[in-house]
Amino acid sequence: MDMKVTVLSSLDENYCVVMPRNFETVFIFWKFSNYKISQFKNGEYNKNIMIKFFDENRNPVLDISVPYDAAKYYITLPKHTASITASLYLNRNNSYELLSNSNEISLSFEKNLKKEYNYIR
Amino acid sequence: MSSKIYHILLLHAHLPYINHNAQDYIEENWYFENITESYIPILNMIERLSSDGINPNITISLSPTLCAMMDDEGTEKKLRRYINLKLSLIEKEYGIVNDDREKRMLDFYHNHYIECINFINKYSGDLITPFKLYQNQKLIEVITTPATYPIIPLLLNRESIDAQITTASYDYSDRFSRSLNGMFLSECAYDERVDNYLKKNSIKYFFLDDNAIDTDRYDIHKLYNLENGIAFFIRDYDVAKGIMDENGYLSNPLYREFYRDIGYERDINYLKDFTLSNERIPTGIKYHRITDIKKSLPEKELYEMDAAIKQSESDASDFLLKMTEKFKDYSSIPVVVSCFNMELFGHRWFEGVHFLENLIRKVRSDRFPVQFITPSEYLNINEPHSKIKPFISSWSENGYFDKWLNENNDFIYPYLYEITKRYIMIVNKFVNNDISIEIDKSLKQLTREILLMQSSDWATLINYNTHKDYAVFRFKSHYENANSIINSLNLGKIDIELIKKLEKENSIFPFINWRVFATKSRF
Repeated sequence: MDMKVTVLSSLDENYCVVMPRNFETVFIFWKFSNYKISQFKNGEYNKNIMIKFFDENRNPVLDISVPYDAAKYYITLPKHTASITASLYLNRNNSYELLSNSNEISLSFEKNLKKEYNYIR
Repeated sequence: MSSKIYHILLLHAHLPYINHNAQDYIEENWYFENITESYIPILNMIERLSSDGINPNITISLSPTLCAMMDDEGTEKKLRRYINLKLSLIEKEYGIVNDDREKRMLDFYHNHYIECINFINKYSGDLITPFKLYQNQKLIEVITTPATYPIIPLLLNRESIDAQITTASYDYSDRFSRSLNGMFLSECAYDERVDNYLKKNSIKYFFLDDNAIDTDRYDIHKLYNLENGIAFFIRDYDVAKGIMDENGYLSNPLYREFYRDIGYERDINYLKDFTLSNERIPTGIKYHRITDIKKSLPEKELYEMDAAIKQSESDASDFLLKMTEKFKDYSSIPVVVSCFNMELFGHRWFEGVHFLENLIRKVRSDRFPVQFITPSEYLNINEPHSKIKPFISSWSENGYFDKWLNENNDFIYPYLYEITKRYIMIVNKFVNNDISIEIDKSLKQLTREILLMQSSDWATLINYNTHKDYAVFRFKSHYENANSIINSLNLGKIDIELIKKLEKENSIFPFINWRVFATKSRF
């Protein structure tokens, strides 16, 4: 069964959302409004967007450049922080415009315990 | 030397809300298996202990979705049919098996399912009643989980966390006629956003995995609290490991083999009258023992019940001896918290209920310095050691959320994010207005659909690729139902027939309060 056959809701907004996968890996997904997508298609923006990640004090942690239509990405943070936010920038003629700020998520300290259970349903 | 060890034994029971009165799904069997193989045997164990003057003092966490199935009449009818089919299958098996050890197993299974029927009749089919009764008799403490068992750190907004905790708290009070003292956060998954909502619902304690704190600095055998005063107990992973690891009790060669089941051996045409399925599924009728965990299923030897039961008694003694030994030089009185999925005992580990019963009996008979205690009792006599700010964590395989958020299942989150955002906008629009009964009913049903979408079960099943189609079907159905209701509310054209249909299909939380999803100022 393919979930994608469903008509996605009519939330016609630009957004980006971050989620914690584990103590060092963050999942980010984003979406553009129909108008913004048309601007990408018309060549008003570079097809790659910039996502900047910040720690709890708004210090930069990592920048990534990804295709605008990738829609999701996993990143491994280069350093441990108490929390993370992301900001999504568009590139118009090498000038970056802030489009959307994400939610803020808590992260953990470095303690990657390996707990393997022999118990699977 | 510590004169005493407090032991909080938490048995956690949860299943996704599966309620299809008009049609049969094999996923419904999870409920029937857990009820007959674990929950009823454990309830019978509590009764036996109580009648022998022993207070088991265990803690049982029942998720609201499981509770909803336990008092659903349609599910009860299907449960009775399931048991009757098992009894018919057992009758037929008597004509097939030759070995006395197999016949002995059939005698056991026959008596067991008759006991289940008697138990269900005793409580007129309402399986919440015995839990309520034993709690009122102070034999157990019952707590609950967030409403539909979401992973709290993966909920994308505070309104959802508020709604999940508040709905669960209300559901518990309504069902058990008392306020909720403690919560087992789904999979012990924690992030600090939940703190305020636990406080708002007057919840006094919850449980965390040991990687929620820095164990180099803090002792997991002490009680701690959050800045807002709510206490938390730390699960001792080593206790679980002693049972469930490859070398744990569960793997003893004498114990019954879980994976060898006649559902995978007999002719499919023979089975389908009893399983009501054209697929091969487990029947619960198993005749073999583990023998050697390295041996393949056909190499397994026949089960010998007396030897296995004797082993479980010896394992219970060993468990208590090891616990006593571990704390012999401990300077104060430790609290050891062990948390298990309830279906581990009986369903997964056939001899597990016998092990549990022996554990509780031997504390008294063999004078072990261990005292079973419920969290509320412990809180009455102990102050938290210190305030700690826990880390995000869960009790999952590697301690975080990879199981519910990875390349297999991440496609669900944009859907969840968008529909929840649109839903909160609708709730905020109506929350301070006078509304018609139709709008109120629509918003209530919409809330049910959103909460059901947030269940972590769908991501789990998609991740393991087991029952993936069912999980996607359920997620998609709740999404589409929610989408239809939001569209109708936006257009001002309520389809009351659709609402009535959905109320029957997804009838959980009859008195749900949609206003808890409204955006509030931070407190």
